[in-house]
Amino acid sequence: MSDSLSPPRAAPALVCHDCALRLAPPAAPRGHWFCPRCGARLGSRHRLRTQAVLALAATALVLWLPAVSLPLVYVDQFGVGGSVSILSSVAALFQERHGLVAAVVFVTLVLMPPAQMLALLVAMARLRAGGRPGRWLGWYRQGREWAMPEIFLLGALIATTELGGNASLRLGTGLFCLIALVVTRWIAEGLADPAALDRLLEQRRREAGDDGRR
Amino acid sequence: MTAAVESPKADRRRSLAWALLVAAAVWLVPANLLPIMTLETLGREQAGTIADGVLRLLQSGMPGLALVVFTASLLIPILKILVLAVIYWRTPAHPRPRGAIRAYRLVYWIGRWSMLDVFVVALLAGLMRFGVLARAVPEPGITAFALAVVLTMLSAHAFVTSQLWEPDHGSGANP
Repeated sequence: MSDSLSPPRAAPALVCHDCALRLAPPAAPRGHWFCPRCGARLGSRHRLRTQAVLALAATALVLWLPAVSLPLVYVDQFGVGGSVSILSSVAALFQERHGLVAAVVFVTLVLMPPAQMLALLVAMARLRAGGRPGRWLGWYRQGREWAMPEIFLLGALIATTELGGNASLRLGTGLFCLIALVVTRWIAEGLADPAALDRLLEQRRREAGDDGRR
Repeated sequence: MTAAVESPKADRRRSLAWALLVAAAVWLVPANLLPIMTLETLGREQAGTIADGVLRLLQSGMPGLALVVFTASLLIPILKILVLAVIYWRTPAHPRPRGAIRAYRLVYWIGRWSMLDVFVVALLAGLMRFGVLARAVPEPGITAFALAVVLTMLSAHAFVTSQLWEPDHGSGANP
């Protein structure tokens, strides 16, 4: 959601990301806990498993290319065959002079999913190396709502049932890659728990502040 | 709180959110009135709006999918714009901030599912381009609809949720 308005100040270490309430950081780990004012989840029961998130983000990145370029569905209408991939439907929209819709589909399905997974990958790699993820984590979060492969999957289900009546359909490799991509991304995002990430970042910042403040 | 204590950044962001929301509401009108896609089957041309798509699914015996498309394409876009407008209207220092942020979080994550119809049209247009007996051609309504959805998402993005509450004076002084 939106970033907080007030610039971070020195003393209380914890600022709610939704309502900018300043809180004292909990002394001990306390599982799931919520902002007393707006109800945003601020603490996580789970430890952040950076290695698992790294592996899942890498898997999603590998799946991306076949998912967008290989045929999703083959159609056979009375002997006339055809197939469609995400890239070919973007091209079709572009040629039908619906450039804006083509651009929206391109950004949400071709550009954002790998960009967002790459940002997550770099952020996790940097965290594992003991550094700070910097802007990469921000990009990952900004990108989350603009990557829409799961919505496209539902759209594919509706489009194929609409066609189902007057054409015979066969599912393509691209579709299975896309399903795998959606599931991988889903687990990766679940494991990269935003509350756990925020608390880990604050901890790193405090540690850096303790011995690094000049 | 009065507008005087508000930071100019929050003020600017709220104006931006309003502007994007109004633009989205304007685009939603042609999105619902113009056809989004023409289906040509066996020489018969049939231009359909979003509502026609829902009816077609209903008539072909798929009430479940019809309900999904109805919710994602007709109900959610309008509901999201209305909910956001009410929230923006009562901000800053919303009288019931906790309810407001719950509604905001809900429409924020549900709104993206409106893109469903854009993807259906994209897929059908790509699949049935060169069909001899059946063709699907996208129509201007889908551009308006995509714009409405994207603008609503950008508007929700521009809104700064912390201004639902009065600025946090208390805990700054008390550690």
